[in-house]
Amino acid sequence: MPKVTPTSLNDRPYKLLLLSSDKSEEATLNCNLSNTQGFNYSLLSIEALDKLKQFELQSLCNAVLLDLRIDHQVALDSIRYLAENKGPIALICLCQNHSQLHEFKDIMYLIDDYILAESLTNGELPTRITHAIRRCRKEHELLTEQNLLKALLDNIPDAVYFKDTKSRFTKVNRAMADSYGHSEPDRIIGKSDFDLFTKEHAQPAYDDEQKIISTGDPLIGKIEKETLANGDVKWVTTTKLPLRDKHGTIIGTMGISRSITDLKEAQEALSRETALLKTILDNALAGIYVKDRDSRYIVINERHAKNLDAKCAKDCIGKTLKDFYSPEDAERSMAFDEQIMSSGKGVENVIDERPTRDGDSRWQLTSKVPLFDDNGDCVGMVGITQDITQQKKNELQLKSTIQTLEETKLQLIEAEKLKTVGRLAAGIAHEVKNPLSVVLLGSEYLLSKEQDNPEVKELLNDMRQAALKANDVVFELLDYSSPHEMSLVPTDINDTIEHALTMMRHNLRKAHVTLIDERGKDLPPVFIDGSKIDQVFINLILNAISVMPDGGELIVRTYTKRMREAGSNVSSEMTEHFCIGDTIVVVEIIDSGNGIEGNHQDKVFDPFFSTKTTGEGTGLGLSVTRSIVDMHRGMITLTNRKDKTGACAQILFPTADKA
Amino acid sequence: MNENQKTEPTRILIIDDEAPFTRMVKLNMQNAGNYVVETLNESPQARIVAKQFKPDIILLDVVMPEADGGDVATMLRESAATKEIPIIFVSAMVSRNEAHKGLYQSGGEYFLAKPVSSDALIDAINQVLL
Repeated sequence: MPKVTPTSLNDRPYKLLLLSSDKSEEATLNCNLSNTQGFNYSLLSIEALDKLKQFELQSLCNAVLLDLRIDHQVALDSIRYLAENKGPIALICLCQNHSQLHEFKDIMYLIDDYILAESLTNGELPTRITHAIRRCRKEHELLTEQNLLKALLDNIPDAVYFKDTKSRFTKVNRAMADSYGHSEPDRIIGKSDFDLFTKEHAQPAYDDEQKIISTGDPLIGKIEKETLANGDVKWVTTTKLPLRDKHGTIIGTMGISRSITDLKEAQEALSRETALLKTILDNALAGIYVKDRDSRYIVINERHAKNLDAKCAKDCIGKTLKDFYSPEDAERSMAFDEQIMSSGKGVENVIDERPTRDGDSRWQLTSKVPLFDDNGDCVGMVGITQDITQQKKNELQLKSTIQTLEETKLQLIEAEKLKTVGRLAAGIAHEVKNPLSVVLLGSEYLLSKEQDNPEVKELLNDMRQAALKANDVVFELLDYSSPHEMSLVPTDINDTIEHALTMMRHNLRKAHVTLIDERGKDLPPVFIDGSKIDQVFINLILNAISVMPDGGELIVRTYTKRMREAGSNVSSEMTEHFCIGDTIVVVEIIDSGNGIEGNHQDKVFDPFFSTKTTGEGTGLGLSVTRSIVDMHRGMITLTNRKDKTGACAQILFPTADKA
Repeated sequence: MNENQKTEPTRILIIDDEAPFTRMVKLNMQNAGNYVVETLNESPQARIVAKQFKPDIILLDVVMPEADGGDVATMLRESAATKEIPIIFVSAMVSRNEAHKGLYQSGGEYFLAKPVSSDALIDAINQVLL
């Protein structure tokens, strides 16, 4: 606002424009204006409106003096044109008197001032012009200001409102009206929040406003949930201020609310997703975790904390495997992580075995992928680890079961073969033995008749021996067909040996084999089926005789022994049969033959293995022997003697209390 | 139990479906000493033959096609004329242990394993008859 001093009406000269058809008017005006002290001006006179239209009015002058004493229609047009285009320029009309002015009463509102020539007093004109110019400027400024404010209020997307002391709306902007479904802002005037919202929002809003009114303290950035009467929910951030009159008295409140519904919904969606993720993490049957570039846990679920034997997931954050594994295991595992992060390549389903604290093994199935930031730099890794110890154990168990089954299958096949042999033997025994009887009796008869010819005699003897051997073969085959039922009776093993020796005495004598009896005394009884064990000893003795064609010695030894330890002198096979502390009865049948050839040691008990030439044995003898010993839960070994050449068959029997 | 006189030969009836076997036994026994041997290969006729021949002892096969050893023994023991005659079962169906024993008893019956030597046969007959 230009400063007005008593000595000067205006500091800058006003540019005045006179629009008049009367040439003398300019002189009259100059006469009137120039007389006033402190009023500086320049005057430009224009006769016709058309000429005026050629200029940019606002740069041309500060006020237009329109002489209404011109043609009435021209005067009307001029007023209208000037009112339209003048902006801050003052439009002052000059007329003769009131009655002349009256002719323009319909458009009087368009002019800023008028001057009546008849009643013009001395010095009045410059003052009136000055005031009109100043008022016009002020008005124009206010109008501009008001337009700006209106534009702001009408176009801002935030809701702006003013309320009286009773929290009734006194003014709201368009955004406010729009957001609550009212086409016209004015419709809301006079209403309160209670009319627009549910009480849930209206009451606290009212309370806030009343507090602002009573204290004068503003409310800034409060987040509010607005539930509309129709059920829609809006979230806003609100700032409310006290509204004061020019005396500073609070006459209401004003506020601005910005909708943050979208933001809030996004936030809620995010937190729902976070909750969902957390649920997945907490309930996943696999360990899930995220590590930073230095292999520190930054995310870990409870399951994986359990995998690490940690107390809880929270405890693991910021820690590395060094805090949970042995140094070697941690180093190995972290080197693996490092390789993934530095190479940028993940791994899938890697199985890892790790010893646990209690010495057991733990198997884990792990997949890991590197984690990249927006620049493509690796910032860590994500892993998922499943404890598959139980599955792995089951798998191993299954493997061993399958292996056992395979072995059993082979044994069954073998047993089935032998059973077939046995059935065959039973069938052929009867058919073979009758012809053998004929041959035997026939050769004996001829022998008794043929006293003179030694060649024929030898031949007949051979026939007789051959028949007896054939008979033996049939017996051995029959042993397979005999049922494996046993009647176990507590027996002194020495008695059974005695019986076998009695039967074999004749054979021993004939083969020039000397018996060395080293049987111990007072042996504890063993549970055996006498007839079957009899067969074992007979087989062993017959075998011993057969390996000493030129005679020799046969040692039969019995003694007891206590299993002391499962040491190196006890074979693994032995520990399967006997436990430490068991008392066992040992029988040894030792010959002085050539012993067993090294490569035969493993095979001597195999069915159909024989060192005898074809026709001399079936190879079933020792196999049957072992199966009988096995049936008694005993054990038989055949080894070479250590003191001299020869073989030692050793049979161990559990004593009666054990069996 | 027998009025066994040294001058009187021992009468042996051998019943077996195998003719070569019975023939061999007969040859050997006759060769070995004072024996009269009758052979029978059709077991169902055992009672008739035994009644006529009046043996001191009968050697009886076990496994035979028409009437087996068990049937024959029952048949003989049902008839008053033959029920007192001792029987030795001669069978191929014995185990090695039993065979090693020579003549043995089982269930009150005498058994002898096939094949049998003439010595073992004579031993067995003597054991039963003495």
